[in-house]
Amino acid sequence: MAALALTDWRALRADGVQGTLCLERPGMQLDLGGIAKGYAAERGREVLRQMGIRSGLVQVGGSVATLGLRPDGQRWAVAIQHPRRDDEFLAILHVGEGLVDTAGDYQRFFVHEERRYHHILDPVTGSPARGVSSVTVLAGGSAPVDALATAALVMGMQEGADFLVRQGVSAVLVNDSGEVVLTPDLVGHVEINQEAWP
Amino acid sequence: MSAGRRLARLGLLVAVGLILNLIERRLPPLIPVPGVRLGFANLATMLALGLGSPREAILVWLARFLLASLLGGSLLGPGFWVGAAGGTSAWLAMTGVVLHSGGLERAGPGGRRPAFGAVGLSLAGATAHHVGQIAVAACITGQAEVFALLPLLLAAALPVGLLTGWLASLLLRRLHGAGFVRTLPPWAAPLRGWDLALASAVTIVAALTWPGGPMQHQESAVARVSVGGRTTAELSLARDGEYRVEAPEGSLLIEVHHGAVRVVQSGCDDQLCVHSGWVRTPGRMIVCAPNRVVILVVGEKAGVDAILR
Repeated sequence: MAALALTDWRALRADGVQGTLCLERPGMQLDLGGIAKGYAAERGREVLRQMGIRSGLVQVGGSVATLGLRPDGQRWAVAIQHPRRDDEFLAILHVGEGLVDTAGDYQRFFVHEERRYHHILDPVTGSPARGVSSVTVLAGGSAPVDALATAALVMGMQEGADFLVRQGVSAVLVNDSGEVVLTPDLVGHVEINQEAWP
Repeated sequence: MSAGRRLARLGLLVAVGLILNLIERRLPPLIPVPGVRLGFANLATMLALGLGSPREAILVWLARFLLASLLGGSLLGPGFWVGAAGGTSAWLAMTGVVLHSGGLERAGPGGRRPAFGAVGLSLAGATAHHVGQIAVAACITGQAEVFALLPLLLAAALPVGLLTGWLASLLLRRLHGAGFVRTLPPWAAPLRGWDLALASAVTIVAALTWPGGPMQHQESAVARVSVGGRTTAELSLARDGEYRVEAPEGSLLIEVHHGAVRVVQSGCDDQLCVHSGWVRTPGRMIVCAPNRVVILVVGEKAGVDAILR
């Protein structure tokens, strides 16, 4: 828990003029795991756009950026991995041009004495965030969907859902017993595979 | 009644409603829309209506709702407005029923016999509660499809309305029997003829509009049957049935049931296709080599552009 004493985003100082970052306390480290993939996917999409490409999909890990519609004029079908079953989808989202990202407790985890320890840590407790299994965030514009998904996963189901609605993005949240909450705009537009929960 | 007693009663009813509401928030959501509740906390509003007046009832609801939203952290969020619409709709409906069935003065021996009992009153409140919630959810989202969830809520309104109505009646009559309440409201009897009529009407509306479970997993997969490389039929796995396919070594009998497909009978020698049993997952197939028949399940899984892991 020594690391918890060094966990504080306020201790990161950014100097926009010099273009430098500074961590105030010795021993602090910066991990871009929660924000780099979404940024990379979006940058990749902009490169394609500048090349004159009108239809494309860039995926970096759990981050997807779509450019225009599919060549057949349909929206892109983006499936969300089922948090507890590798061979199943939780849901399929149909998206136009936009950004989609999933944060889940099923990537990079280990199980010790029947407890799941995954890679997204709650900055308050220093332990893996509990309660929410997967958060998928979908945005039409250029919202930081990966950071929002990770933050909502830490906040918990109801608080996370309310937070994402306030951020103006669409989202699918699932808790660790399989209950699903959708942002109101997705209700009736997403098919949830509820049968495959163990 | 003295102002002090009235205030104490209001406070007690707000507390009852608040506790019921906070318990309700812990229950798993019936449908995945923020703010939608089953309406158990309506019991407190009903008791305020029975012990006091519509004015007291709306006061109790308002205080209870604002406190619950504050404590539950949903104040002024999207769920807040859904809940506010539900609560005010329920109050409007119940006040309407109370005013209609005998007015506000207590029914004397010569008074008009009220049409609704406590269950009918509670059911009217629960139904209006859900219609109000869904209407505002549809407005917030701008999606009329949200109304597809209404039949499910109406079906839930029946047991919840029955339970809260029965409880309200029981409590009012017990309080009356113990001497705490001088006069009972005209609707204090648990069940009257019109209650059953209202319950039947809600059941019929819910049944007629039931969309086959909008939030259930919909089987959109199709079994594509090809003979000798040429597709001869596409059978929807959503529709049960038996189909006969003509093939070189004799015909095959294919059965579709509960979203899965199998070969029941085949004229081939090895019968491997029959032994394959049921398949349902997109990408899986049954092959009858002697007949050159392939039954491939195709579904949305095949058409996915990206998988978020």
